[in-house]
Amino acid sequence: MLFVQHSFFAQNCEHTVSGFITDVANKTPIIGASVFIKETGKGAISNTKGYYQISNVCSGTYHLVISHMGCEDKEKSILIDNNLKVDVEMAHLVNMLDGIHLLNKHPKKSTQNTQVVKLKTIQKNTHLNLANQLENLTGVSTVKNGNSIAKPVVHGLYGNRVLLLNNNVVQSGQQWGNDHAPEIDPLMAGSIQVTKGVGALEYQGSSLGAVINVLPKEIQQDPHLHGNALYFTETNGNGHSINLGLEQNNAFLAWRVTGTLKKYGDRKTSDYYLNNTGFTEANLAVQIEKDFLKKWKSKWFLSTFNSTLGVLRGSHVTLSTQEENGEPSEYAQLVLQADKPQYTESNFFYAIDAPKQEVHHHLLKWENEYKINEQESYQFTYAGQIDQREEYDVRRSGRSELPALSLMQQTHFMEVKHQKMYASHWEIKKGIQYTFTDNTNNPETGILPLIPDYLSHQIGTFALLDLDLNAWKFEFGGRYNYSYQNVAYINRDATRTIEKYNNNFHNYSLAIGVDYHATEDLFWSLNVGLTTRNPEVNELYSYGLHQGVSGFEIGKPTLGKETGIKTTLGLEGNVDFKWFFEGLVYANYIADYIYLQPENEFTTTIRGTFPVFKYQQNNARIVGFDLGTNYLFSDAFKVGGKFSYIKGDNLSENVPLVYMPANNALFSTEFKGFKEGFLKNSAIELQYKYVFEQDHLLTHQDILSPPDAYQLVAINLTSEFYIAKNKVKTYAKLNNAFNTKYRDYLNRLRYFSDDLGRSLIVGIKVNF
Amino acid sequence: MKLSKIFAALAIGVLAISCDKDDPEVPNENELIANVTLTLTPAGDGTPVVFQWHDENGDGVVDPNEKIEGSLATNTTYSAVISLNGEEDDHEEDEAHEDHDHGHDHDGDVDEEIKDEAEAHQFFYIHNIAGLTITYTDADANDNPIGLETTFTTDDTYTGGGLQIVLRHELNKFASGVANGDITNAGGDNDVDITFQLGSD
Repeated sequence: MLFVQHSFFAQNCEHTVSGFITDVANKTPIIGASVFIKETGKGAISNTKGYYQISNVCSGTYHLVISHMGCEDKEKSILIDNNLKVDVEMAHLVNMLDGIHLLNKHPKKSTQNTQVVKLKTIQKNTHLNLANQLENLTGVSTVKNGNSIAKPVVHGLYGNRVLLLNNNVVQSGQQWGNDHAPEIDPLMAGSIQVTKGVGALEYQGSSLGAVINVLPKEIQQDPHLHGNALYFTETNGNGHSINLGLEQNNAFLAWRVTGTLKKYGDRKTSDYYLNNTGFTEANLAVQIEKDFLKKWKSKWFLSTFNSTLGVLRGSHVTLSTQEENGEPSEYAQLVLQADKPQYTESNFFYAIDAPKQEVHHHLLKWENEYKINEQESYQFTYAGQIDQREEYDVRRSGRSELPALSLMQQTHFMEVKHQKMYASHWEIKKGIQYTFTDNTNNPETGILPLIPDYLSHQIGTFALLDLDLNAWKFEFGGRYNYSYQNVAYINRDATRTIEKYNNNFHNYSLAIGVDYHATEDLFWSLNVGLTTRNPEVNELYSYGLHQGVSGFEIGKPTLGKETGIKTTLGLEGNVDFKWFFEGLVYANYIADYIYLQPENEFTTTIRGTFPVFKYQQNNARIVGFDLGTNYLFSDAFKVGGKFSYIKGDNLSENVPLVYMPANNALFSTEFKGFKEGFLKNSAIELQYKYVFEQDHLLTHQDILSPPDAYQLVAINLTSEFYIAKNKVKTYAKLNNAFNTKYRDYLNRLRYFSDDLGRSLIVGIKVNF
Repeated sequence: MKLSKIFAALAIGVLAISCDKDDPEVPNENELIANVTLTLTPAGDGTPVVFQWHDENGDGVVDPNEKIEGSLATNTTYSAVISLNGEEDDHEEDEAHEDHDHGHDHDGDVDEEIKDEAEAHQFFYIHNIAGLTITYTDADANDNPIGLETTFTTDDTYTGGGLQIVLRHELNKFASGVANGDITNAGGDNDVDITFQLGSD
């Protein structure tokens, strides 16, 4: 005891910690940032040169916390046995400007137009699912089947044409069906990247539309145990959620565990409850990183996503048509014109009954990086996925307990990549990949499967070449992919015999990109990409009545590949770091575009007469532009605006393409200049969104004409403070502040009900 | 060198995995309604008139030639019975198989299922044929009609026409007019929606 006391007094407490705090983007000093030692509470504020100094620090290991309004806090583990200099770069401007890049040097690895949803934004919108998280990016919208089932749409393309990656692994299992949401928990993510070109040839799978990559948070360089706890509640749906994260990075191992639980009940429109629209979710992700040798780094990633999602009860009604002319039947007219959907209850329920979906998705990824030297490295990756999906319909005589669709999909993926730098400005990356997919229906359903059983093998190889020449950056890429499908289809004639199909497809992709830095503050980028995509099993062999859309969908076994050419031209820049702007113009031509065509014919089944939708191929063109701008009046006040325009046409038949997002605009203003009192370290943001009516559509292309334009107002309030040296963030968000009654064109439930009414979300997050 | 080794390992892995998907087990479609038979027996001892709709491929397209239709006489009262029968003729092997499995539940016997859940089912007979009156003669526990059994009455103005028969489940049987056969406010989901042409003798 005495000895310990003695050693304490012998400690040197004369050390100084000092350094400069600068902005990572433009290297200007950050003034007024707070720097303090978490353990002792001792701290300083950076001066006009960004300099800070903390004196009289005793020897020992500490955490240095650097925080500045509007930035993600930085925490560094430091060892003090002498005077220490710690310089810190903070992403101040970047955080002021969500979704806009800063361009001193090439901020991006690729010439592709990439937008990023940062951790800060994800944490401000914890109540949103993955697709809805992306919705505030320009050029990104969502197709929905109610609020809990949403799928991202990028530049008008979605589903099979948008590649979704979970930690660089192609997500398997959700590629068909617009009513299948991606099985990824956004609260596990550190950032979400959306690449809008044809590029990203590095990944196996179709990237005709875009690539969305959900990346986990990096494990901090800190040997101590840290974590965070989050709780939020939402009034609309009476939702509650907790999220817990723990991490440690010691000499032996770096690890991180994140878990989320969510429960929502019936959502509400501006004036009635949406019966059976609740959901529950339970997710867990584990990251482990270990350096075996100096050169060999191994990473494991394990995630499990489990969800039960209710589907609006009133959306499962028969929208049959009249036999003579294909007009919606009287009953269908009644449903389409009703104020409220059928089965609307006057009370709120948590219970989820049929129709519903039960989804389980598990991913195991093992990634190894072997560094030969600073310029050259190999990567070996294995990823296995299991996706189990059960969909329950309202069926007669107790059969609602049985799934109407029960699918199990297994995927195994292996990849070897090689990367090498030459003469400091060339970089070549190449790789080879293999994916095995096995999709099996469970016959317990008592219904012939909509998607047949199949297995597929895919082998692909790619090469990317980067050339970096001061103001210019070039990128060339190519990919070849062979895919084999073996399909076991149950024949629909009375014999129910099994037909086997063997398909072989060869796909090619080529991409060229150029970036040009006209000045320090202005740069251009041009991308041209060509890629082919083979038809997926659903497009080839679907057969059956699709409830809710009331169409009889028939696949076409003779479909061929589609070929897309997409050109994007982007301009980004700023004036004096005050006015920031970005623009992107794109044109996408797709030959043999595969889509569901409403046929001018009707099928009479024993359940009524329905319009037939057949998968067809035609030439299509999608053109559009995205604009975004921000003006910073001061550090404390900014205004911004975004606008997206898109137009899709079926060139072969000279008609508009269906399911194109409506044009939309978003304006926001943010103020965080509260100096004193309760709102100190708070930001308040006002958002106004205007969605135009989708008028590029002919009357006969839909059973219900697209909904009117609508406008929504949202208010955000975020606040940060410390309780016992732990950082606490709170946020409150009011969505649809005026309780506007509206319907959205891409929400399939618009045939039956209004969209969500007013909702207040309150959340609190503690870092420790 | 390293790359080629790993590639070789990959290739072996590929070969080890099957290239042929196993035959799927064909689901037992016991929910399927393959036949709708409406039998009208005239009062007294006349020959029954039978209407039948046959749909052998479930959700697939119905072949209109598989329809059997008949004619009604004027000034006659018929007691009518509608019967929904599953895959009776179409899947004899399956049926035999089922019997082995678990005796005889309700497999394929949709009429029995409808009776068991009478409160959640109702047939609607929709027409504007002059001189034809259709009345329900059965009832569920709440005294609402089911429509498996009805009476068709013709008078001398009867000349025939189209009769639409709709079976709904999970409908609101207490909604206005529903008990009298008016489908307007019924709601629910269709199991059957077919039309027969009723002839006139």
